[in-house]
Amino acid sequence: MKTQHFSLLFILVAWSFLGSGCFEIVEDITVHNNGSGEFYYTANLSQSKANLDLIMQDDSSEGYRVPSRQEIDADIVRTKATLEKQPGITNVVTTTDWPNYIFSVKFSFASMSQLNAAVESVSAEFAADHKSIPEASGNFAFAGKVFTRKSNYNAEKEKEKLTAKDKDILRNATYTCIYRFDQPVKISNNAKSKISASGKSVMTRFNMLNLATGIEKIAHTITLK
Amino acid sequence: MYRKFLLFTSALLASTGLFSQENYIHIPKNASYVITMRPYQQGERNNAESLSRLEMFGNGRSYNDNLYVYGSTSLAEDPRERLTNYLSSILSSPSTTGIDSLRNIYAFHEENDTCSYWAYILPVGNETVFSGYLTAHLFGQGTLVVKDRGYSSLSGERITAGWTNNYAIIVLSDYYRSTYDEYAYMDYNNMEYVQALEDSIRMADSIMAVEARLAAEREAAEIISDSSKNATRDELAEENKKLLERLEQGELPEDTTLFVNPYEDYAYYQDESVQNEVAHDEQALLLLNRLMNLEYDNSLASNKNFRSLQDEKFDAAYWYNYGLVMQEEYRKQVERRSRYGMWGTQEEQQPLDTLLFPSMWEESYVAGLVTFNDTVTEMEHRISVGSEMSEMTSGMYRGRVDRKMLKYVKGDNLLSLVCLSVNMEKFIRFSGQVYRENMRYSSMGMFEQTYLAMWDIMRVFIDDKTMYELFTGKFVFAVTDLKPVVTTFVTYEYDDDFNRREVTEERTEIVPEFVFMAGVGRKKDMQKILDILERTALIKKVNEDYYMVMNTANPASQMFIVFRKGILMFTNNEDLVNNHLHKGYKGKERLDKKMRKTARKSPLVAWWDGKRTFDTVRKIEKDDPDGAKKNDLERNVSSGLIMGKKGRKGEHRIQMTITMPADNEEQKRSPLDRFFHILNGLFLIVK
Repeated sequence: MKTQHFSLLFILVAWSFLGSGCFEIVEDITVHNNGSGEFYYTANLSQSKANLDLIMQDDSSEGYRVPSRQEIDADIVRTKATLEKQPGITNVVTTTDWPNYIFSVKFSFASMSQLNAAVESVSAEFAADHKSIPEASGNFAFAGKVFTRKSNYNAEKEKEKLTAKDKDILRNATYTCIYRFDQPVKISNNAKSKISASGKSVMTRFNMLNLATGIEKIAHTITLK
Repeated sequence: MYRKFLLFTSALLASTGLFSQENYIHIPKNASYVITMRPYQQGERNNAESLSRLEMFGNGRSYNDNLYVYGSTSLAEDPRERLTNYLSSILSSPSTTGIDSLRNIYAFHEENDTCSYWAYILPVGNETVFSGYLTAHLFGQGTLVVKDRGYSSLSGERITAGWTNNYAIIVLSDYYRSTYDEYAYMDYNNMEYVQALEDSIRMADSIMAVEARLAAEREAAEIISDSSKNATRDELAEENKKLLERLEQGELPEDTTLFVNPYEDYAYYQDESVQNEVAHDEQALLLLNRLMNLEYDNSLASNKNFRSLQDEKFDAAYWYNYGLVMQEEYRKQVERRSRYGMWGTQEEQQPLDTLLFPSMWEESYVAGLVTFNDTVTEMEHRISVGSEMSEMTSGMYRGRVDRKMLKYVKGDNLLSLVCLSVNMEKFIRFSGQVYRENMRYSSMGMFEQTYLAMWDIMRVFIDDKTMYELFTGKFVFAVTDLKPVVTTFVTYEYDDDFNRREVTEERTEIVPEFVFMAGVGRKKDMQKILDILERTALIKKVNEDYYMVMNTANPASQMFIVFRKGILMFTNNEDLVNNHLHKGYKGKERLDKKMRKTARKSPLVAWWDGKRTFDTVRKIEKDDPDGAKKNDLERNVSSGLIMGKKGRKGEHRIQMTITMPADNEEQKRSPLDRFFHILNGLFLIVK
């Protein structure tokens, strides 16, 4: 169950592991020349909603405790409140679409270090509940004309802990990274990345199982012109 | 004279008994799971090539991760492949492998604080052939056979084997500290950290103790050397103790980030892995030696329940010590609760208010006897319970389901049917007790007490009699068809600049059409419950006959509730609630006579039509992505039937019959071979 480290909103994703079926996570970040920008993170479990409808009626599934709707709502409110307290973080908006099981969080950040601090603050907030993300630290950097998406996730170590069930669930899940810039992109060092028609955005889609087992790496560096 | 003859005969029998001692003498008393196989009763028709190709055995490779098909998750690919081929050769061609085809094969599992392992006990018919085949096929030609302890042994790549001219033991062992491992990956608050440090020290201590023991045994000055780049284990343990003392004295600030020392440095971790590998091999040899020389009192042979099972007729049997497994589970739960700081440390915990859980399953065993007869495989599942459980459960299953319930079961494409008839008072007392005890020792933490309090409060408002009489104890559950339901989901499309647009797509899901019925004893009380649910808008009355459940907008999850003529019914079959509530199903749609009779043969009946299920799925899902996976199961199962059966005192028996389609004459396989294909089909579907 260590794959949750990919998710900045573990609280939203952890229980998605309870049901088999597909889900997708989208990490969409706009970075301006001065390092400020917008962060938009979405967990879409819509494809598994029939399963989730059933699972949410129970208090446990496959040996994992199923949180209630109220509990998840409360965690989302807590996430919003934590982010709003962070310096340099503004316009925090969270959305929940329960019928489709789509959850998102969106905010503006003044600098890359403040974005990192914000993500870490959410992780720290949930540390006591064991919902934190130890690897969610210093994941983004922007210096000169180079944007770096880092990852502290140690697939070699963590993949041993994945159960067959975990793998089955992750097999059909996707993680999409979209990074947008003011300047055109020169190159992305990830072979899977695509550059948009305007040349200012980079999209990379990963299979979650490949990420969890280290076949694919989320870390990549984008150099601007 | 007669007395002398009797004494002589008894002595002769006793000595014969000793000499014909079964190989299960080598299974330790605390083994939790045991599988017994008599694979050759059907002749040598098991196809080695066919068995070794089964995905269940991982084809020796990729499919096998994290599954205990061989009993070890830590085997590397090459030895795993060799083991696959070796085991399938044993099943298919015993004479080539030197196995005695007239005696039993055993596989068993034992677990303790530091070791979890599976082992195989094989009957040796020809030691020379056995030794040659084992060396060449499992360990590799040229591996040195050691003969210094009264038996021959081979070891390598996490497989250890020992044999005499009578039997062989192959051990696959994993050494670990499971709770310790959890800590290596967790964030700690200070309370947990204290516990983690304690674990760490215990781990270091236990490794050192093993080292010392091995060193003494092998007369080696030092088996595990210290890394030159890192601190010695002694120094780390000392450091841990100091940190622990400082923590306990409150010297460290609350937010101090600390690590468990033995793993703080990756180089050290790697170094320790190598050391562990050496220690592992040495421990496996010690374990093998223990099993080879096991005495009666420490052996499962001293367990009457297991021994008596071995005297019965079967082709394969499984047995597990349920009492022991539950006891171990209880121990882990208590440890985990203490570890997570739910109730303080173990010593600080309040005295437990109920103590039934550890004892309620005492002397309880579960066993299954499987027999193969051409196209029919029969399995008798037995649950033997100790006196405490026997008192609680005797007479619980009794009577038959009502005939009138069966008329609401649509029969023209019936896929499965479960009928249960119980004494509700016994059933509720039993369930309540087990539920309560399980809850009491679960890891639910702060919620436990709330749930337990709710359970007790419920008893204040509902008297025992009402609880026992609300339902009559007659229950029917049937899957009457599979139907396609079109559902929608939201996903994203991206334009050329990766701007996202939400799109709604459709997909077809297969939903089982089902009906669940419960006989109601107290109709007025049930009506009150439904009225409350309606008032709170959880259900909506559609007409005089039925209600609609209101908690879903998903058509695949739409449910209806019916309450009439003393039957409470849950179903997602709209046709049933609209057209068949007054007279039930008639004609061809009705449950056929044979099935109506089967449904009332015993207090517990469960039936599944495999062929019909697969045919129905195929009709709906023409491009079924999992079709290939289901294929093996489909080719090998026609139907399954489960029935309650009368057992001895303190014993519950369930008879399961699997009917398999006959093979073509030229492709005829043994029933065991086919049974393995069924297991393989189930394995693929589960996976």
